[in-house]
Amino acid sequence: MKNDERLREMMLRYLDGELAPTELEQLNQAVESDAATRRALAELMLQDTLLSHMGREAEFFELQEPAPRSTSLLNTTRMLKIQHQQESRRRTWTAVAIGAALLFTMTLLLAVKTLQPGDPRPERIAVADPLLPPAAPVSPTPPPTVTQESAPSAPPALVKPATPLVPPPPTHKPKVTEPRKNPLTPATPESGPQAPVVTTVPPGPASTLEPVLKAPLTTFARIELLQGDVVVLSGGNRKIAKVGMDLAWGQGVETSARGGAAVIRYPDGTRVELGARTVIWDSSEKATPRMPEGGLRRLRVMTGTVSAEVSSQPEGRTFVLSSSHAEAKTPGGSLKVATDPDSMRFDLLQGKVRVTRREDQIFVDLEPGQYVTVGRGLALDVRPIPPK
Amino acid sequence: MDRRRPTVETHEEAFRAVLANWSMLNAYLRAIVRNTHILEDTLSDVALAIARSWPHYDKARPFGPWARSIARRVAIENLSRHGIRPVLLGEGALEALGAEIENLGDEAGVEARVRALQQCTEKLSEGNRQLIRLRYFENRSYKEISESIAWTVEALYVAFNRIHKALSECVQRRMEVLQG
Repeated sequence: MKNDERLREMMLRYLDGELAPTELEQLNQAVESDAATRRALAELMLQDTLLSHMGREAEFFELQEPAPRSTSLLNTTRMLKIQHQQESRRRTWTAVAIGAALLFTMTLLLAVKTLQPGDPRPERIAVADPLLPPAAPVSPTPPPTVTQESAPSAPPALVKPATPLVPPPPTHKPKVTEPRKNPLTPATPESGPQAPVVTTVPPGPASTLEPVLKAPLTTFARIELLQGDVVVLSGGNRKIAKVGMDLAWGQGVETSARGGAAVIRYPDGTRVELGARTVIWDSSEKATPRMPEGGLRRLRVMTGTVSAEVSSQPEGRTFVLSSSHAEAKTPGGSLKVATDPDSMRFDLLQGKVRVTRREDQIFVDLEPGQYVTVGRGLALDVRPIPPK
Repeated sequence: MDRRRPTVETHEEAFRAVLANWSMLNAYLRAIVRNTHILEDTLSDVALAIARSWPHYDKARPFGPWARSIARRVAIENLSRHGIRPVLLGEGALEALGAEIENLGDEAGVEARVRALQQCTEKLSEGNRQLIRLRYFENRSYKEISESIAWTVEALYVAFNRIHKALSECVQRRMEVLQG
């Protein structure tokens, strides 16, 4: 059993690239000779991959704690310590609790014996449950709302968020239920049962209740236009694309050979148009509480044709279009990328772009109206785009 | 016309095969390439290398071993381009692992596994969920995590080993229920 644990830790160290050569030999032998070890490592490799994939696409952890990293880490440490302490103290406390319960039962039995039989003694029953919050004083009518109290005679049109007579009690929002605001979503008035008398309640100290860091975006772009068959790729899974669908970090888009086309729009306005037979994958740095809008924008063009109108990127940032042959970095501009099995062509229509060949990291800077083709055995020659 | 030259059609066919085996290839490459950025580049390169070699692929043979041999070669090339000499299991052990991953299920099975994994992750204790968040959602190395929470890396390996084991057992139970 202990050996099994040791082997599993070796597997983790191997996947982390930190396994010592002697241990590597042991693991190698175990994988080749023992089916259970092989199975365990294969499961670990797949689980590691799927967790990373979930990490790129999902949001549920980050929604919970939009707090500064240091706080988050302190909390983690504290929680883990508490967890360990709880493990070690659990038995002691269980014993103490059992003893206390026995003592309480005996005291209760003694107390019952001293009571008169048949006397219900309602004041004993009325003891409040310590688990419940203190009860509010009973009132024959419900308390009036702020609207009724502050401006009973004013016409609705004159009602405005003014300083209330009585400051509203602080609202305690649960952290997890705070809905995310996606900048791609047009602002719509909130509706439903959770928004009563919104027009008359002053905003109050809402801004002070905002988390220090914004909740990160869960998606990198939205599908704006579609033509023909287009699918969204998520790992190895495929789902039919629809207009308005948000693309999660790490997802891809594939257009069909028969006239498939799609346009995706980034929150900063960048527009990317996919021609037929095109496969792209998002490879951006995912949004985190520290970088709620996400980091470097990177789109991997696997095959096909992509036209991008890239909005001006923040200072020091570039939008990256990459493929196996080369990488194009632009701080903003309009460019077209076309791949074929052996090469990739970059056309710059507006702005600036630097095209770097991945093979040897040699780069060229294009001016508007120029193109370069990158491929095996091809010189990195910049040429003017021929007139149509 | 040279029938062995890649065309747009063979390219598309190859990509479909790659996508149908995406998780397997990804997991396999993780045993060779540990750096996330190099891994992503490698996945892309592997897809293209498979597409280039597709006209030479004998379709009577299984796709998995053929694709993994290309993936292994491309991954090692990419690592050496970055000046990295990886500490790797032997070719036989890696291939056996690749085959084992393939046996764990196709992409539809992987999708069910992801759902099970999501549910199982939510059942972890808050502290363990935080560890998972740091490792996989914030993409931090064990070393970074250990420095952040003042643990030794060894203690982290122990903790993650337990987490992975618990998740693996939980996923297994859920998959068995799903399969009836």
